[in-house]
Amino acid sequence: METLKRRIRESSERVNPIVPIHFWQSPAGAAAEIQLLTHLEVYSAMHQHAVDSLPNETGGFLLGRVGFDALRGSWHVEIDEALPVEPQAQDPVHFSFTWREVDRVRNHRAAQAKALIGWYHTHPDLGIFLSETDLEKTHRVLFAEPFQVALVYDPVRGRAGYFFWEGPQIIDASQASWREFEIAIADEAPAAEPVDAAAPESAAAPATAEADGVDVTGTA
Amino acid sequence: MPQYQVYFDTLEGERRYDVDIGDDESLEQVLRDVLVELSERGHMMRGLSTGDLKVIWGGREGRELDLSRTLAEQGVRPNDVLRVLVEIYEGGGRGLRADRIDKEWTLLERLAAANPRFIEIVGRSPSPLEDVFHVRLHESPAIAGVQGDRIATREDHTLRLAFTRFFPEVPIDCYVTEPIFHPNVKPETGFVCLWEQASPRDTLIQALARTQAIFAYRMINTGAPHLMNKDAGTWYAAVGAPRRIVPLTWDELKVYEVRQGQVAWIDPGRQLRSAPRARLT
Repeated sequence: METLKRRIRESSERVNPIVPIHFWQSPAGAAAEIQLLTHLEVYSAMHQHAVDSLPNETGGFLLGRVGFDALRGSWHVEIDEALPVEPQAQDPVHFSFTWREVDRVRNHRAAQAKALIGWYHTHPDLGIFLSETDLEKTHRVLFAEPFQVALVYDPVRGRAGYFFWEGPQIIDASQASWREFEIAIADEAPAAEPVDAAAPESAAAPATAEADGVDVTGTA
Repeated sequence: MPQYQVYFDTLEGERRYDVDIGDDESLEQVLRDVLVELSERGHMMRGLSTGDLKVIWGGREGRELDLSRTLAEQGVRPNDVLRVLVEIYEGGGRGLRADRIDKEWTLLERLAAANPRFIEIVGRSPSPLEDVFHVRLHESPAIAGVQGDRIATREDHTLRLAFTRFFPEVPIDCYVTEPIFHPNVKPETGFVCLWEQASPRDTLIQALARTQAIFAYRMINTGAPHLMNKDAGTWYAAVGAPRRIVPLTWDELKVYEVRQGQVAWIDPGRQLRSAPRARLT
């Protein structure tokens, strides 16, 4: 009788999938506490949209899920989708979009049972801050919930940063190193290198994190 | 009465309300009533001052509704979802300051076109910290200097109109290159103290008109914070005013245009109507 030899192949697929993320939180001493977990594929999509639009500005919406810890009074937000807008007009220092984009994302949000976390937009080679236009023409109008954030990305310098509410209509819109981090996109995906630098307030993605060659480094 | 689900963006974020709307009510009337009621509850809606409001009928492809018609006329059914949105949203690294300075430049061009005898545009030096408009002012009499009874006058001046980093919260600064003898002109720098109580709505038109009036001694402010040249203040009180040497006579700038047979102010602030917010509260 012949014995059959069994072969065992190792599968690369995890039973429990792990999503590469970037963790960012409001700095100690801020008037509000918010923790963000952003899927790296969100940065990848945002980067691609930003680069495709250069030298002009562009933007889009951030969607995901929100939790509130009533004991700590802290917001815990997961951003898992970036939805680009189709600008009505755009140039290197400005872009605009219409109600159609807002209507579209709100329908999408309802269909996906997600929360509208905020918006991203680019400042090519201008740095990470919220201008009065950003604040008065969009952020204060559309994203006034306490957990809603603005993500500004400078695709030329590879820097990004989050802006969050510290009270009703109170927001620090200035440039600050503590809010910024670096997004490095490899030309050919994937194989992002492990990240080891981390600012005290914003931790980088774990060493295993990789998504379409996205590298995130928290730097202060 | 039929009820509809209506979403608004308020100061606290996006909110949903169930709203009773009669079949014979125009949407505009309903919107007006609802906005008043929202503001009474402290749920002020954002965006009133930034653009026209749109009422969107929900669905995969939202449709903009006609505000002058009723919901029933437009096929909207009770319990349908409506969203009240602003027409345009904007972002940009340049900011409102730069937009406003661009508008000031346009105002200057129009003012110069309406006053070719008096205003000559020399150029513009843009900078994130301080934008400067360079202007020559002609046929605008001023006292260049006083020596005893001898008074030297000048009618042509080189001006720098500076928009600082904090404009429009901080008003336009004006500097004159040539010497001017006036209580409100600083001899060392040529700074012209234009404003007693400046407003962010003050434009370059007010700045130039006030410069002309100051140069001609039609406007004088001898209050301590505004007194830039003490000698000129003393001369004005002791000699210039008593002997009626000043004010000088000058032609005022034309601050309007005639378009299609109608007079229109160059400065849009002069024809501002009350904002919808004011009408609704």
